[in-house]
Amino acid sequence: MMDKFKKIFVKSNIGRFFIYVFLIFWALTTIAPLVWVLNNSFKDTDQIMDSPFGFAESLNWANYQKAVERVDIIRSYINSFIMSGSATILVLLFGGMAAYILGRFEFRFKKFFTTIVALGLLIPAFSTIIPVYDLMIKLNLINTYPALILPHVASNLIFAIFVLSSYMSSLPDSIEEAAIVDGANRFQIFTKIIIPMSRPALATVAIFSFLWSYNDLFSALILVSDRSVRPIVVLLNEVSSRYGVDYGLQAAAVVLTIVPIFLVYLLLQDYIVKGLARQGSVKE
Amino acid sequence: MISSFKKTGLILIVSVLFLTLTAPVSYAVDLDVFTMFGGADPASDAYQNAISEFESMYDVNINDDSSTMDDAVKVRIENAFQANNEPDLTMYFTDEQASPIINSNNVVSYTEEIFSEYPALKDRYLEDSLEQQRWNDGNIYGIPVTGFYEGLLINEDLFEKHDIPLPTNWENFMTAIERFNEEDIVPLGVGLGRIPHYMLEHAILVMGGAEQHNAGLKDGVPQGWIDGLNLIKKLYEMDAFPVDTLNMGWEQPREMFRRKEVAMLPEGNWALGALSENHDTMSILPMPVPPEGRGEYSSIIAGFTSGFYISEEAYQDEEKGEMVIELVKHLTSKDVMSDIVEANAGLPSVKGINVDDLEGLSEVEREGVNLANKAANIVLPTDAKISRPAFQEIVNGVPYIVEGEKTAKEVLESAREIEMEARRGEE
Amino acid sequence: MRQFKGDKKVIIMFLIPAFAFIFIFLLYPLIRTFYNSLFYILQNTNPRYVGLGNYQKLITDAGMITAVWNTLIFMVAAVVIEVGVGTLLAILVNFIKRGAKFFRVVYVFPVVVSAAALGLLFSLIYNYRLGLLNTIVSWLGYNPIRWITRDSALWAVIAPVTWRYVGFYFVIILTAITKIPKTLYESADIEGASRLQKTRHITLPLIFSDIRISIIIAITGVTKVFSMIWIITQGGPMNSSQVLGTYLYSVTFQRRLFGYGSTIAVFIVLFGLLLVVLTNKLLKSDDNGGYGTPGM
Repeated sequence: MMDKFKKIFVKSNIGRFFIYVFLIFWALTTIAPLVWVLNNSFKDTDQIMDSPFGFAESLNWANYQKAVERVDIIRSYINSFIMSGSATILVLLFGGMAAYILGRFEFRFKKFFTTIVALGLLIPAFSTIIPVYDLMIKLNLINTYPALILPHVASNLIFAIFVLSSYMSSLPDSIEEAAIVDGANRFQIFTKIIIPMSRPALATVAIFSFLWSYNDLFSALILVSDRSVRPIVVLLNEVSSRYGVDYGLQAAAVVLTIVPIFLVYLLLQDYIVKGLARQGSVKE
Repeated sequence: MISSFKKTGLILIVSVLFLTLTAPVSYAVDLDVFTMFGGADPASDAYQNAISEFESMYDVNINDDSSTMDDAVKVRIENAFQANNEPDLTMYFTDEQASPIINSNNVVSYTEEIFSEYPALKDRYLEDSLEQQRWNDGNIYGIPVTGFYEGLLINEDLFEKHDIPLPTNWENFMTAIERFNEEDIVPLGVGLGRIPHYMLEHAILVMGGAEQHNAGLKDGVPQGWIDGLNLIKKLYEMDAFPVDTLNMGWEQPREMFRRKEVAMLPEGNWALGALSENHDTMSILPMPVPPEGRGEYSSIIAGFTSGFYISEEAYQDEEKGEMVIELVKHLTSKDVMSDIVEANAGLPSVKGINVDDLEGLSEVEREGVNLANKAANIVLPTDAKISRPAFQEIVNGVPYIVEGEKTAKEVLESAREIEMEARRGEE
Repeated sequence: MRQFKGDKKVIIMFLIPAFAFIFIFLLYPLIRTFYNSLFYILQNTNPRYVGLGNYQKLITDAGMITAVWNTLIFMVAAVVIEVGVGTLLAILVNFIKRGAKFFRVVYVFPVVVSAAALGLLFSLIYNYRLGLLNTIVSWLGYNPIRWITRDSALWAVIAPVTWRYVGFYFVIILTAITKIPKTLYESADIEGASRLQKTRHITLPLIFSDIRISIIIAITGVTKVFSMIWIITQGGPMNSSQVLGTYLYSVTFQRRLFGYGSTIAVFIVLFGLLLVVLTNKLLKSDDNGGYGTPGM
């Protein structure tokens, strides 16, 4: 008995060591690019070309100043948050609803709908942009928030339905059946049981939907190019011209674009942790 | 009962819709303008000053949507015209790339309408610059702004330092390539893999001469084009280009030129803006002509391939119509043009501007403009002579040719097929 | 799950909003794209009907064949690296308590940073003259190496792209793992199971359907991958790193052939669909306890 315990203990520690080594190694690879970009944002383009991987000499804020002058930063942040935020909320709402059905119900045309979802995953963005643009012109929505929100909802719904229905399908039947016995209807089950239990998956979908919408440069340039509605990601395009790319400015632009996302992610992180805590206490 | 989830969702949707309906302040006249003088363009300041000036002269609000030109923006503008949603004044290309704009029937023809109403307008512009705007149907739809020119930029100081004669003729050019290789300096800065464009144009021009260059591909593949591509292959085999040229675009060669790692750079006036700190040690020369080439030494690739288009709708509008013309006049007035030319070292389209008088220009910039002014032939670049897919076919084919996997003839005939297919639509 | 009479209404009402969006903004454009694929359209004007001409062109297009082949290789790499390493990291992070939150935040960084910035980073890493790799190489006393050549270009782009998305699948799988009740692990601990055994017998089976979803998303994602590759190699040199996403862009926006571009888009959809069906068939198991998963 004692030997068995000792074995587990030792094995556990060495194993744990190697686990950490690997995890930290990977973490270094993911942190390095960010540090590199941050570092470069304090250099000007010449310095970057001279030594792209050397340390910046000082905290030179010139690039950030330039960036703030090029675009109306505050306005752009607000636009980004309104558009990507709205898109994300709609995705969670409609995606959650559809995922609930597709993940837990059986009905006659189900296969039709699941096929469409799979199809949606394959459609390249470059093909949809022009018909969507034409549609927005007809609806007179170009250069308004919905012009970007609506297509983003559509493309992120696919991912959302995929992930959420998989998650929701594995929640046990017994939960719903117990609730029905207690007199609940499907709406209530959905909102009071399924949604709370799906918190981790919802947070995941929220994070990535927001991220993709937020970072989508191509559609933004075409649908919401007007200064009053354009999102912050457009700043990334304003750093290049026929004369070349201002690498220092680009680095600053990347940092400015990332910071809010980072904060949003940290926020949603906590949400996941709370969800996990709940999860642990759910009885079968 | 609506769940709180749905409630928040509803509130958000409503507030979003509300935000989109907030109306802007209105002026007497609102003009939507698009130019290529976007954020990082050197002429953007000159342009912004010009519009502010205009706004103070008239009761006009200019909604400026200028942007650096890239594919997404091109698509947006083209589609705007197609969808009858175009800006009132648009600066866009006037070469082959203009067909979506012109075919949308949303642009006003200067020759048919505007010049008859505003005769003085026509006289402002240099004849050549106007002529180059003429479209297939004989009309002029764009008013030229600044033109461009291409040539061989050289780092004079490198030539001096290593005692190498300037490449004013083919023999010197060959010598320079050999000598610079010995000194471990890249002789010709070109990214053959992605942007061989300028090298391509020059090679075809010097080997084929202006006539063959301008003939395009529609009546067959001119021998000069084949010879031109083979010339590039010969240079490649002489190691005239950087080692990793097959994975380069235009940025790296230019950057290397700036850092004195490259001796000669086939480029255009727009590159001068980025190299301003080196102007004292730079010069610009025409591309030398090999003895077997049909071209003339003083033929230059230059021209006016962008201009201001006026929206049909705007022109027909009572108030807007006049304002738009005034804006065009203002933006191509001598003062504004001088500012823009000083900023981007381009060719002025209006009469009466002598670059030697412009203090804002450096020596090499003046040399460049004079190259174009004194040229025996001004030739528009190769991509203005053939359709875009055909040109891209040649561009994609260059690496295969220099590596010996395909012959120049093969690539050009393939390009010709593509060209003929493109023309089939124009009946 | 037992279903009731009132359920029909619920089903319809819950599905309509999402599918309205999908129909209008994804399917309608797809149909338009299919329609366009029957025409020759240069620079998006003057469509000229060519029937199946574009499809005939597709079959004999050398660039297309290369792109398909490269995409398939890419897909294998994507599944192995993106989903494989992502799952591995998720499992490992699940074992530790300290620092889990840190890793969870940090691994997603590459997905958060824009593709453009990462493309530039890797271009600079591979650069012949001032790249990080060659700096290290010369420091070690060797001659600089051409990292991007015809033979190496595809792998040179596979590495950064797959590395980038590892964090994405890491989060998905980790989320899936949290579904597993802790009690299962606790009883396994009592019986003295090793981490390996716990993983094999508890974790993997229970997240299998999530892994399958991830594989499907990874495979379909590869059909669309574009930005980073375009910046690093633009599909070259000589088409060696051309994939479907970059080829579509090149044809549509460089060559301005919108009709043929639409044809390629249609191909991508059908090709992807085929692969999804195959993947589903291959990974079919007696899983998911009968609840039904999306896909076929």
